[in-house]
Amino acid sequence: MEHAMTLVIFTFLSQMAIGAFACLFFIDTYKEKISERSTVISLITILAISAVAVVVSVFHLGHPFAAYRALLNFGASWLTREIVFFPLFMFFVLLYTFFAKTKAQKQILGWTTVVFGAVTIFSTAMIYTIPSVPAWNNGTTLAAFFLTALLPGPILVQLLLALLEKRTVNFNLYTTVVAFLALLLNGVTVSVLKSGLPAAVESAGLLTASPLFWIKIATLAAAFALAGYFLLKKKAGTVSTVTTLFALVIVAEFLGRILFYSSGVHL
Amino acid sequence: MSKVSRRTFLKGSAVLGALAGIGGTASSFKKIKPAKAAGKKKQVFSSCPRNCYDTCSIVTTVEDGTIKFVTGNMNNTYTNGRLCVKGYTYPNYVYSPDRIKYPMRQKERGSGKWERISWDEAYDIIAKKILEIKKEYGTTLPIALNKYSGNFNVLNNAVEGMLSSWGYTTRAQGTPCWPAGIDSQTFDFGAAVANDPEVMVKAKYLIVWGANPAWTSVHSMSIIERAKENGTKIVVIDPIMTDTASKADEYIGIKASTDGALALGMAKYILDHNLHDMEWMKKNSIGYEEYLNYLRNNITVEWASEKTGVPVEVIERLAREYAAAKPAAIWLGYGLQRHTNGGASVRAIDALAAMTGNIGVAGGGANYAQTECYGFNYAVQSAGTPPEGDKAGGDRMLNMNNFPAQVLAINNDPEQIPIKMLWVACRNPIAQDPEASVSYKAFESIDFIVTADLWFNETVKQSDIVLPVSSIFETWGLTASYWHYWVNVNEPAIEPLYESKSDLEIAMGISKRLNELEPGSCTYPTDRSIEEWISNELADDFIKKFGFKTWRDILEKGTAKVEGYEAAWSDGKFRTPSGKYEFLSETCAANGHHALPVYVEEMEVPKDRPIRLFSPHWKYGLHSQFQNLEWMRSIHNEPFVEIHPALAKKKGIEDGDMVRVESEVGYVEVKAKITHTVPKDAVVIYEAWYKEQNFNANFLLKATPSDMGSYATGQAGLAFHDQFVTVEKI
Amino acid sequence: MAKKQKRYAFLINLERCIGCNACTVSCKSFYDLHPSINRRFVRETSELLTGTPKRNYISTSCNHCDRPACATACPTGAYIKLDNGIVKHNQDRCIGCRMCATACPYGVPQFDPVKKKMDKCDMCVDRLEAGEQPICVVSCPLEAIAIVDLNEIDESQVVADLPGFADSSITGSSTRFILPKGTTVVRGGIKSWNTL
Ligand code: SF4
Ligand code: SF4
Ligand code: SF4
Repeated sequence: MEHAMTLVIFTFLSQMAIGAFACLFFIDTYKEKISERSTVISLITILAISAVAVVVSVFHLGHPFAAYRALLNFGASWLTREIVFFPLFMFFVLLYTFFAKTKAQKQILGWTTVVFGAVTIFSTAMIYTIPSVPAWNNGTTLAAFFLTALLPGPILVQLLLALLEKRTVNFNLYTTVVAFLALLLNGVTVSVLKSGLPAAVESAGLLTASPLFWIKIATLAAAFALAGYFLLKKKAGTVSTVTTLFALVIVAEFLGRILFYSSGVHL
Repeated sequence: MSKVSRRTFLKGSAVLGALAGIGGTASSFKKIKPAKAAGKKKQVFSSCPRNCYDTCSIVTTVEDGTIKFVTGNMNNTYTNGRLCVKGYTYPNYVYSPDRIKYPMRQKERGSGKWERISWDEAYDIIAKKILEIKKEYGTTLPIALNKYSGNFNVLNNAVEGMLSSWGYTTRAQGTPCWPAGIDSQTFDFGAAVANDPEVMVKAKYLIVWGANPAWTSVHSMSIIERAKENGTKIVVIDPIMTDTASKADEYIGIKASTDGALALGMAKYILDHNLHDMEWMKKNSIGYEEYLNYLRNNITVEWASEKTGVPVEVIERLAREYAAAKPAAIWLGYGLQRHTNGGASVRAIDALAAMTGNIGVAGGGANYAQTECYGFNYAVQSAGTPPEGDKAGGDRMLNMNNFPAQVLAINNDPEQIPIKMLWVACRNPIAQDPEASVSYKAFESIDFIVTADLWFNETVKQSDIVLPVSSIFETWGLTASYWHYWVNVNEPAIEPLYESKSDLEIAMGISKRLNELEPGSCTYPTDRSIEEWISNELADDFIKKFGFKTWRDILEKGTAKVEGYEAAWSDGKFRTPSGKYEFLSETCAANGHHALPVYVEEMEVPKDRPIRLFSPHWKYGLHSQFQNLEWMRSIHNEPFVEIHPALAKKKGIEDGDMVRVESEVGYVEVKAKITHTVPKDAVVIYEAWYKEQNFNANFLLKATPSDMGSYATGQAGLAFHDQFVTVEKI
Repeated sequence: MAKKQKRYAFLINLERCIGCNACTVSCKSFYDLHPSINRRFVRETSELLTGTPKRNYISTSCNHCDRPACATACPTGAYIKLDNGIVKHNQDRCIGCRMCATACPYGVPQFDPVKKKMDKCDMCVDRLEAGEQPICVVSCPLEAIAIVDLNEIDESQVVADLPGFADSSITGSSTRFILPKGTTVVRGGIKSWNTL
């Protein structure tokens, strides 16, 4: 697999998995009663996605079997930190899946998991928040990575529940707001880049010249419109609308991640 | 006799290999036989044989029979233990996967369908073809040779010897590089003899005129930098702001081909202000009165300014500074004479140096070239003499600088003995000759083409048989420079790779087969060892110049200097008919030029193609060599055309755009590079052969002759820089 | 008294550098690098560096930074900053994740496609320790590269930044440059401009 593609897949899947877990945890612990079967299947799906992310990421190494050596620089390297925290997140998802029975247990394990997930996303973002790539060296990287957790993650859960429980949890307000933020971030990013160093300005040019960027905007706008429509209609939507929504946001976020790497002009 | 030749040959090289261990500078020199050298580290002396000012002496480190590193030989004070970028790529050159490994036959020219054949088969095919031609025409005149400067190892002259040993043949004669200037200096001095470039540091003032040593002679560039740091003022005169000009104190962006006008204008000012050296002229020259009168009556500084585009006050200041500095040196580059008035320009500059008494002075001079180090016997060449009975009675000479057109003219004329077979060695004429499209046609008109080379280059692609040639690291050699005064020996560092052979071995191999097929049909000796060949080249009187007792003494340091050229011509013994410096040269007049170094009008710029094209040498290659190598490609692999921002703007061209450059004879499509360093009315494309790219500057070049060259080199040179094009964005 | 610790750095003389890449190729040859990678890079820099246009180059390799971004990015700790200033990459540790190449403002570390590990200039530390100069230093035909001790040189005579070279303050690049001198340029005008 092409070098940058492995990174695209890892960051995208890991962030979506983290967001999905957080969503599931909040619903499960604080909002609605979900059947145990649905919860376990959803959690296993999240774990499976995480596992795929890890496997793919290992293949971006020249020496996959020496991956353990990537743990050696915790003191300085955000990559090491990411490599430490993401498996910790996964481990706690596992614990949560099989050992969180009471609400208190759920709260303790759930929150710990969410924190490890958030720290993972923060670490990943910090890997890229570096002066050598001016387009990345600002808050938009962190914002973009968290939005990948916050947008496709919950919709994934929504979809899983719709399939498993044959009912649609109503996320429309949430989705509308986050999709709007995601749309907004694109504008913010482009204007931040345009006012940055020459390399960042070049990145902005690459970004807006790419058809992928406009497809991303269009899919986000469609997701925003769809969720907004059901919000106004005060309807939860059907399996097929959730599926559509999910398809729209994963396309948007995946393309966004491809663009992130391909437009990151080095100094 | 011929049966043992191969074995004798090998024995000879083994003996010499053992000798390589004697003495030496590097600590790891050991007296070891090559056969037992495996697994050990050794260092041997090599010599770069390219057509280059610097002709470096190289120290090659070999480990386990593999070349590990090459670097400059410290014993050679000119190269100072350093090489240029091309030299450092030699390990990649030797071990390149692209090398031709075996003799091969191509099914159809240009098809790339090569089949491997054995050396015996190759020799057999070639020998039978030669005999067939000889039988049909009663002479070997239908066989032509096109060989030049790809490898200046003296042993490679075996190719000329080989052809002579078959009979009288057709030859590409002349030299594309420098002939106009060689003629000029021959008329003025009797020969081109430059001061030892190592004493350039002694100059108080140095004019580098139409040369770009930063790219073509890096070791001289280093000397120039040293001079500059010592306080020498460096002035570069060139239409292009080259890398050399970029290092100068002052750069004069002269209008191309008007160099003679600048020299005459400066001389006029010097004369008017009585800054000339009358005493030197009286003592050492003839024709000076006529020359001074010509200046008085025909030249003004204003005229020179008008011609050259250089402001009057600048010409005056240059003249003052040059005349006042003692000594002041001029380096005349080959670029300046690649014009239809190039020879005349060189004569005008020579005269400027002479009238200021800068000839015969260390740190002075009108330095163009020298051939004083070529004291070889050329035994490999003279060993072949036409066998009895060739009815031609002499070789047929074609102009190397217009070879394809002349071949076509002969082959289209039923009255003439046609050219049926072509041998190409040490040359890539299709990539390097002007009017590349004519070259293709000329090749088509020849029945049988054999090329001996290392690479599947453009010429090989149009051949029937290719013979794999060994690199210098796999054979013996001797090389001399035409600029510095060192002669280098080249010892084999490794065994020949694949089935490659040197040109000398090939000559002997063909001779053997010819004599097997028809005894007496070839006179080339097949029983001499390489040791004998080398010793034949370094004759006793030549090695005495180095204080050597035997030729083997050169193996001790790998390099030896011909002394006594700190100040060429300081003895006042010029080699002209008069024995003096000739401002007025009857010989020059007898050759159809002016007797005096007068101004000859430059070529008119055609109205429909108003942009001048320069195609000078490229820094990552020497003609068609080196740029094709992997290591070079990792640095640069894209041809480009340099365009001034003003011209680019006019044409709507931006940096990186593809443009079409078109001349009278062809076009190329190439990437634009916008730079302030080229004139507004000219573009620059560096000539080079890029692997697997359909790019060749010579698609654009016309075979326009320069004014001089035929007197000393047999044929006029080429006006490479009098080429005109249009440039459009694609 | 203990001798002051050395801070080795490259000093590149732009007045001498002709952009020939002999440094790049000699290094590549000596270390038998994969054909596709180099440890030294020669780039063109602004033609207008000294006012009048001319050809200027910068030859750089690793800048042996004071705060090496490569070392911070590397998850294996393969990079170490030696006491003498040299940033050394330990290939035995490297897992080829290429994070250093992204993080280095100069894009210095290169991925060796055969070893599948990164490769980077180590200032020929073995040669320096043996009292010899680096290969690029001894190979440059113009003697444009030197190794200096930053504790010894007069910083007012050199610069750390040039157009086309990432801001030295990001990582504390130790490379210093001698700026080229200006050249007086006389360029004749052309008459036939309108016909071009
Ligand atoms: S070898 Fe020297 S002159 Fe050539 S590019 Fe390198 S530093 Fe510059
Ligand atoms: S130049 Fe790059 S590789 Fe070298 S020390 Fe600095 S950050 Fe590291
Ligand atoms: S110091 Fe050594 S490793 Fe670094 S670029 Fe120069 S030759 Fe290469």
